[in-house]
Amino acid sequence: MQARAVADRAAENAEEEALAALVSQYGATLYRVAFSVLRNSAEAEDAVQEAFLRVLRHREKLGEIRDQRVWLIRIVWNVVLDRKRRAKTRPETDDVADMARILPAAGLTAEERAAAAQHRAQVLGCVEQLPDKEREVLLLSAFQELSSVEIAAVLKITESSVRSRLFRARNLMAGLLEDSPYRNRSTR
Amino acid sequence: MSIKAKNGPVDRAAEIAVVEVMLRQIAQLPAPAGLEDRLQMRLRAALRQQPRRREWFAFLRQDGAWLHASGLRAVAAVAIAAVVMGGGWGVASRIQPAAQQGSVQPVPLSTPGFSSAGAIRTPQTLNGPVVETAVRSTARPDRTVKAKQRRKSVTKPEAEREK
Repeated sequence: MQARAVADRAAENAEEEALAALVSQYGATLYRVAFSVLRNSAEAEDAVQEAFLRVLRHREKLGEIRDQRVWLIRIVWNVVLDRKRRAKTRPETDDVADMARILPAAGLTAEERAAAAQHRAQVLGCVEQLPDKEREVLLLSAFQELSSVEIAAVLKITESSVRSRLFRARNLMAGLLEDSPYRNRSTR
Repeated sequence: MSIKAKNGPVDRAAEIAVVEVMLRQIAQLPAPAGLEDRLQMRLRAALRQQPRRREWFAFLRQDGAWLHASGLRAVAAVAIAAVVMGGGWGVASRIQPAAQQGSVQPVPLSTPGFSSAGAIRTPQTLNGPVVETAVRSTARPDRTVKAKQRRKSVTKPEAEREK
């Protein structure tokens, strides 16, 4: 009986260590995936947390997983989509501080910075207008570390579907940008 | 042809490139400081909570060892007996009152519809005149077939005699 308890404790320690390794290896990647959809730092962190809690619940399967990175991205992707669906009624809450970190603000005047922020908002607004399937592929294709095969694995579709959806997404995006008020104002 | 139409495909490609660059920039956003520590801390807390839940069922996992404990066996036996007795009592309590209410007669299934319940119909007839004596026949006896035959049998020998 004591031997069993010791074995249990050892197994738990091993699981804890495996999880800790997953967090340190893929935590940042998962955060970026979550942030690309939610565009809010706190929500993205919560989503990553929830994804790792799901992993914890199914940790006995960890040994069977062939590609842990894609598996984890798929989990966080599902968590993020769930959250986005639930928050559909809420207005978009882009994290301004995080966005400011992305934009190349150095050497820009205040007016240029405001214009850049407006342009960014317009473009992201167009991305949001895309149909779900096309938008998902477009967002995931922005991750250079993900190949089209991996994107297909995350979305559970074929690689050719990824390519065709990406093509459609680009065409739709071009149409949306042409109709956007920002473009109309800049071409006037 | 307008300038916009001529430069259309180039503009489109450039705009899409801008979008993709922007999305790539968002995708490359570094994780906030201390994210890993926070995640590790929350996961460790979640892990600490889980074994406590499992300890409740730990005795069940020990290859049926709990069955060998006499106290648990007695409790299990009493529980089983209580369940069986309770079930039997429940059935009996439901059946007994039904037996006492035996006055309700079962409806015969062979005759559908309403029964007469043993009632005999007596037609209400008028009290007419009662005939005391038998009615005399008005027909003459010699007109009957038998009388004719008898007459013939009587008359024939007389005619033969005259011959």
